[in-house]
Amino acid sequence: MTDITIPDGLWEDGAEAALSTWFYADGDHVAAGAVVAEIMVEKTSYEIQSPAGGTLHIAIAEEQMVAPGQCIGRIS
Amino acid sequence: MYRPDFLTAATGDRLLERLAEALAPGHRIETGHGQPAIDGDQALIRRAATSDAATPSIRLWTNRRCLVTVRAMARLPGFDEAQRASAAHGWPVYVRQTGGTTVAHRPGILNLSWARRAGAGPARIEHCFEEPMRWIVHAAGRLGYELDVGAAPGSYCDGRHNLCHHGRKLAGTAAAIRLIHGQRVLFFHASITITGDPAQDVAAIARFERSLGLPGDYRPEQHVALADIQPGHDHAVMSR
Repeated sequence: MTDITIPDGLWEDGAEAALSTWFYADGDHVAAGAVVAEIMVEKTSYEIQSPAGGTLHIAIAEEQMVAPGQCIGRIS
Repeated sequence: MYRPDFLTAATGDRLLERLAEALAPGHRIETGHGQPAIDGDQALIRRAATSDAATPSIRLWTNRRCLVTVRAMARLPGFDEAQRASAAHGWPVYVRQTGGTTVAHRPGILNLSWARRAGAGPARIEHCFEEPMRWIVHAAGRLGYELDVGAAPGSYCDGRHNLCHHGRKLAGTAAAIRLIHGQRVLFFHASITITGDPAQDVAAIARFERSLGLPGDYRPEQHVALADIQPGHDHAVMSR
């Protein structure tokens, strides 16, 4: 299993961020480097890549709050 | 609202062109129509991904009268009905890919889109705002308008990076960091109210958002158009 994590240092402490969109469904096959999710930090969107190819396992639902370094899903 | 004598409708229209010229001398202002005008930003981002990182790619553009909301609102139950109702009031609703909440576009609002390649490494979200906001504030300053950056509580689509005049909002901003062929691209967008009545924009946005079951509780007095601000005396004389 490989974690999909939100990069550290992306935004300043205190800003609210939410997982806005998953571009694939749970169980979908994704390629390494594919943009799998988007997070919204206040009014800025940021795309999250898959660190590996394989099957996507979503851990955080859309609209849930997220933090830097947090695992939002896994690739098996 | 009090409008200084030297400002007629014609000078208000010229103000949009003057600000555009101060921002990017010689740059053409695109006149867009609805969703295709909004989607033009995706082409800008793709172009920036293959351009020199030292030079940002920009668009200056206006749109027909419409509301532009975000994907999260477009997923809400009742969106199609709210969209139809707003269109019936003369404000068709389109969707953008950046964050925030609903904003207004119309001919008196200058849209500024900015994109710069940031390379393959990590990029901080603040980087999307710092350079283009300095650029806008500087350009407005050349026309005699002393603007600043901050929140405008009670304004629609509020955030920390509004373009303001004494706490009243002239422009909302939004940003994105996109990944194109392994290159991170910083994207920034501002909708700058130059002429017209911001209270009408607020009313249209509030009506649309309330029809989605959202509060839509905005304060028109927290907004201002550039044409309703008197520039510094010396600059005003110079710019006539």
